[in-house]
Amino acid sequence: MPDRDLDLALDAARLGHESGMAELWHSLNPLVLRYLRAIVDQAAEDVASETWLQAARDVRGYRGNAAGFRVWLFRVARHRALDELRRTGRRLEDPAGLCAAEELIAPDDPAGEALERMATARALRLIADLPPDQAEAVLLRAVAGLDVAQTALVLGKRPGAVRVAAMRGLHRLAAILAAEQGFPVAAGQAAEEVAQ
Amino acid sequence: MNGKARADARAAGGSGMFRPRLSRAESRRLLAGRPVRSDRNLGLELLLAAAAAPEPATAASDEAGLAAVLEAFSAAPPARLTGARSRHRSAAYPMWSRAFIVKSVAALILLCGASAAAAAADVLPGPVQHIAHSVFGELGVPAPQTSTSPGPNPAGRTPTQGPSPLADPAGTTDPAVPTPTTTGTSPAALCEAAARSWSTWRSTLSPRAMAQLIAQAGGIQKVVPYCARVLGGLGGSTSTSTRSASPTATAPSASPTAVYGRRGYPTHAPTNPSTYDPTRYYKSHR
Repeated sequence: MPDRDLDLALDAARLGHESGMAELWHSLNPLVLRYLRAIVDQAAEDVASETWLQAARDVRGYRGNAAGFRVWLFRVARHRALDELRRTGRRLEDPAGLCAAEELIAPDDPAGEALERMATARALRLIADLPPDQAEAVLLRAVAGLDVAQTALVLGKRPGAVRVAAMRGLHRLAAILAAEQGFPVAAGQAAEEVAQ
Repeated sequence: MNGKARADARAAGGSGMFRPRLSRAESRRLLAGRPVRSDRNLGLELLLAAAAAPEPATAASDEAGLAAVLEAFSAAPPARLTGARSRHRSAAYPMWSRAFIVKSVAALILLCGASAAAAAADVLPGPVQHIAHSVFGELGVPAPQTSTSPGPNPAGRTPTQGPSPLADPAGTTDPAVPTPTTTGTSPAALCEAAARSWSTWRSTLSPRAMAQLIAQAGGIQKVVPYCARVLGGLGGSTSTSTRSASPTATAPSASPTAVYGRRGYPTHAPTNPSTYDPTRYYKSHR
């Protein structure tokens, strides 16, 4: 959904219209869920609910555009996810697994959509298997649609660090894909060159 | 499966015979969701596109979750300023709230006023009083009393250094005595001005004169009795100030010249009020 439409939805929500809030939820909740599944896996639904409850309470007082709201929402989601990890004694580095993503595929889905969902689930699983900083950077950039500066705001890092993490993640993904297809790629070498 | 693929990739990485297949520009395009048009990165492009693909229209939407969100949305108070921006602002600048500034200014004024009153009343320690005198001498802040300071001088020399000119009849003209030049308006003139209207003297007198009068009287409650003594013409009593501790002040000195207490204030009113010129001291001190 383009930010222009999100701006309209945000304005409506700010004025107290439920339709605006529902529009924001429909547009952004899938992205929030994909991001959260890579971090907290099974708890993603609960964390997303907490995130949206806070958004519902606070959206009327929000001053800013849709791009800023998107950043704010992912910041909230990330903090809630880290709280959840702390509560369950896990760390961000622990493998997530993305079991829930494949559970979403219902048996009565049309064949084409099932394939799409499988592709999506598999792609998200590959990204989630990256080291956490790379996984977060790739997800926020490529899936959530944030730019470097916005991703840096969400992660609390410098833009340069975000750029490097995303590049390394892409190199690693490319190496994994190539290895699966039998084309070995110097993933380690690529990552080293990025770091230079 | 992934572990094996990654292990293969790492094992292949050791050879170093392959160039990296991804340029920085290509990474930027991929991450931004723009087409790369490069066959060697087609797999990566498809993977990212799949990860970012919109939910299918028939996806089982979490209607219960949406209902909970909308319920919270309706229950939220209107125009509550707890959004991201406002919360951030209130957390970042709590000390610059309007109430804080008002309180700070009020506290500052009170502090300055208290300091000035204390300096005018000459109750500060010697060094501090000296500083106050040098800064606010124009406003009637007296010099510190050297007689109370434990000086190393022999006791015999103290009277010549003290501000009391009673030991020296020419004290009023002695340039070594600094206090008469800084006393400002005389108590008689002040009391005269205040006595014009006792009901409104606090507003008719200038703040400076009021502070001076209060300091001379020794307290705001003592102003009226003090002025009654000053203006009332208490006959031969030369020491009308209860705070005059100079032993010589009790001497029956009927000199019509100004009699200075230990702080250098004229503490004596002429014996005959009818001939009393309230501006005399003021003129002589200017």
